Amino acid sequence: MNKSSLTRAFFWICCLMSASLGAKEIPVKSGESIQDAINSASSGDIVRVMPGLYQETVYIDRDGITLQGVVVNGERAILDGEKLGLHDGIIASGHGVIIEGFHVRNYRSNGITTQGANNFRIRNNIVENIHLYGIFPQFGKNGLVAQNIISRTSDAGIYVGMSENVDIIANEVFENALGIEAENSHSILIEANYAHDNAVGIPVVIIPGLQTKSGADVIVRNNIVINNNSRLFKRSMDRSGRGITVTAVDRVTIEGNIVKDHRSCGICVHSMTSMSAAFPVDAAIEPEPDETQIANNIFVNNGYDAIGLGVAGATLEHGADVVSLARGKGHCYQATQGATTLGLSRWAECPSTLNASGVQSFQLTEPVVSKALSPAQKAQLTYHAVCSGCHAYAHTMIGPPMMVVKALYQDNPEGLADWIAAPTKKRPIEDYPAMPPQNYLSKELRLDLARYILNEVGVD
Amino acid sequence: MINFPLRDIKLKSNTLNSSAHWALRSIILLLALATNFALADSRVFACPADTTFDMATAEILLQKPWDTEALACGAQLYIADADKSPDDIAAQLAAVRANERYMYYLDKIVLYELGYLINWYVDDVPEEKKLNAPMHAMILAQQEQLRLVRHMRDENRPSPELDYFEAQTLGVSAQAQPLLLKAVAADPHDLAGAAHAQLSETYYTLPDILGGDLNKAVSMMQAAGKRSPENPRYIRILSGYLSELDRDEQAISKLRSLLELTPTQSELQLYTDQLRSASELAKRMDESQLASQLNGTRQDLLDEHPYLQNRKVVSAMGHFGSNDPRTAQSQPK
Repeated sequence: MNKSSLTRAFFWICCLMSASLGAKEIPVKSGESIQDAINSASSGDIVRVMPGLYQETVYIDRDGITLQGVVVNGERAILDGEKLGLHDGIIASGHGVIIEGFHVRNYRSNGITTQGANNFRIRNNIVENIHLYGIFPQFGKNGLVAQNIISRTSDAGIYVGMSENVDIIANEVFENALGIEAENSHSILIEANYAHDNAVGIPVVIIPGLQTKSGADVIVRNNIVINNNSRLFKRSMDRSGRGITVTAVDRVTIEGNIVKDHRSCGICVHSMTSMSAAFPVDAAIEPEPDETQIANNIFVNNGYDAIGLGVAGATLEHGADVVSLARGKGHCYQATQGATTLGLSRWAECPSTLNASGVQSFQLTEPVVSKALSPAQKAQLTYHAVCSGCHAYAHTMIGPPMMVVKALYQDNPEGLADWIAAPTKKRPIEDYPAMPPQNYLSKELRLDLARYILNEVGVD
Repeated sequence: MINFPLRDIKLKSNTLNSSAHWALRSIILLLALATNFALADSRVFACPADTTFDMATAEILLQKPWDTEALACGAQLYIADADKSPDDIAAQLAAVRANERYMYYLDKIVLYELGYLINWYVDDVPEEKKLNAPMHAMILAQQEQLRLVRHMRDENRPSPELDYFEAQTLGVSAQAQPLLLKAVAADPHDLAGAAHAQLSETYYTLPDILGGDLNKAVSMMQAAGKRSPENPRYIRILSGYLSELDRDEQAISKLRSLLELTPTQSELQLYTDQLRSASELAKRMDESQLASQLNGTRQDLLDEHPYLQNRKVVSAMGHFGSNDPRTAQSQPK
């Protein structure tokens, strides 16, 4: 264990000890409300939820709460949204939250999501059959997503959006549209995960039209990435058959992975334009990835087809273990015996020391200190932490472009605030779920948020 | 809003022979440009069914890129004229050129290179379909263009411009490349570098292993710039390409040259839009002062010309509001 690991361990031990000194445990038994327990908790408290069936959405809007599902003889606390048609399992906007030990299933939108929360830990949960994102930290800094099992989500199993300093370690993701997605994020470690039978295993991307205009310093290391060819989800069908993808993100190190049985490519490197013709021009984004390093991976049977590999009316006839459809600069590849490549003629051979060498974690040794926010700042944060997960400015992600939303509600912030609280499904496309109601946000915050969207979003 | 094709427009005169016809069009075009603003105030927008063809009016309409209906009507007038005289090559070419201009502005200005992104989505919701009128207009305009081009080919009326006009309907795509290569080889003067620019964009967009080539993209965009040195879009795009090749000094120099341009009234919207993109590009190259200058120039233009759209979206894609990017009404600064 190196010095930074020791410091980090010391920090968490201190946190636990200090929490335990003044903190209390709040038990929740089957038949009781988890939310009631959260509402009575203070920073440092541990809400311990016993095995049983819980049909509710849990909101954690205060700092330093640990929400712990107690596992007894393999039995867990099950959060199930099916009967009540609930949208989200657990939503945390408080900082320093720990969520662990739950079985979250059958929600219409998200399983476990953090919204603008820093210093989070989400570990040892089972999340399945979720209509959008399984585990979804958005717009946060300093976090850990570890030892979770996520399956059958119609978008990403784990989706880290516009975040920094997050470790995603030792999770299993399968039968999702996307296994583990790091989007417009910085300093992300994706290590020792098992991503199999998704449409795409591990996409590392920049999406245009979001507040964060770049992504960089991502390590994809020692993962097992197998048979990500699923065509279960219409929306991702044209991209299925890819193990690990990099789109426009700089300094991505892909090292020590086992990548096997992908139709199009084991590893695909894209520019913004070669990823999707549906991406709009966002002049603030540098469209090419730079300094991708691919080394010491094991490839087996990738690229036997080439579904969707191409752009602007031109497609490849077959794929390869490693395919680059990007330009950019400073890329390197360490040849693996027997591995096939396409588009790497200008790539250099990797040096013996990679960018990621020596990086064991991107989590910070000290927690991020959170500041009090004005109502306007809170509205802005809420936009980035909640709305940006599904809405870009000028193109469609999950929800419609914000420019359309703005047009619909021009001069009507109250109308938009009401819609935010109680939206209905308008789009007939099956893969696009209805917007989840954001009625857990206060009325004042919803109105501030609506004003922020109408007056600030997309304005230069 | 846009009623394409419009075949029953009454034509005032179509009796001139081809060369005289074209010469007259050219003179009228110059006159129209000179008197653009006075006539523009006549607010002739959509083509009603009994519109009488008048070339001066048609040309003026085509000089109003901020007004979809005006552009549409201008193109329609020329197409109707061509349909009435299928053997008149000058009329056919004039129609194709007019339609090309309409399509160019639909793509680069009205849709602001974004429209196609919204197209497929809003079509699913009936009450939002009207957002899509320009996209549907674009599709119809492309169909008309193909019809006209094929008619000229069928009639064995080759023109070096036809390859480009056909390629334009294919957009930035691999399929357009062979046509563009032929157009570039012929290099008709009237295209003013448009074929070079589109070919450049295909070289840029396609991955190298599928026929893309950034160096070729640069040389083609430079060639386009030589043929149309005042085109701000070519300059901005070339600057981006140069930046990607780490030729930042040249890229920045290109961006600076944008500040020296004096675009015509009809090109101001294109220029203003490009200044916005150029400013973002300058920021990416850590040229914050240049970024501010570009943005400042843009802001001055917005202040000076209230009809220009600043793309501050308080209303979007033809939907609601009095500040519609398609209605020629100003948006709040």
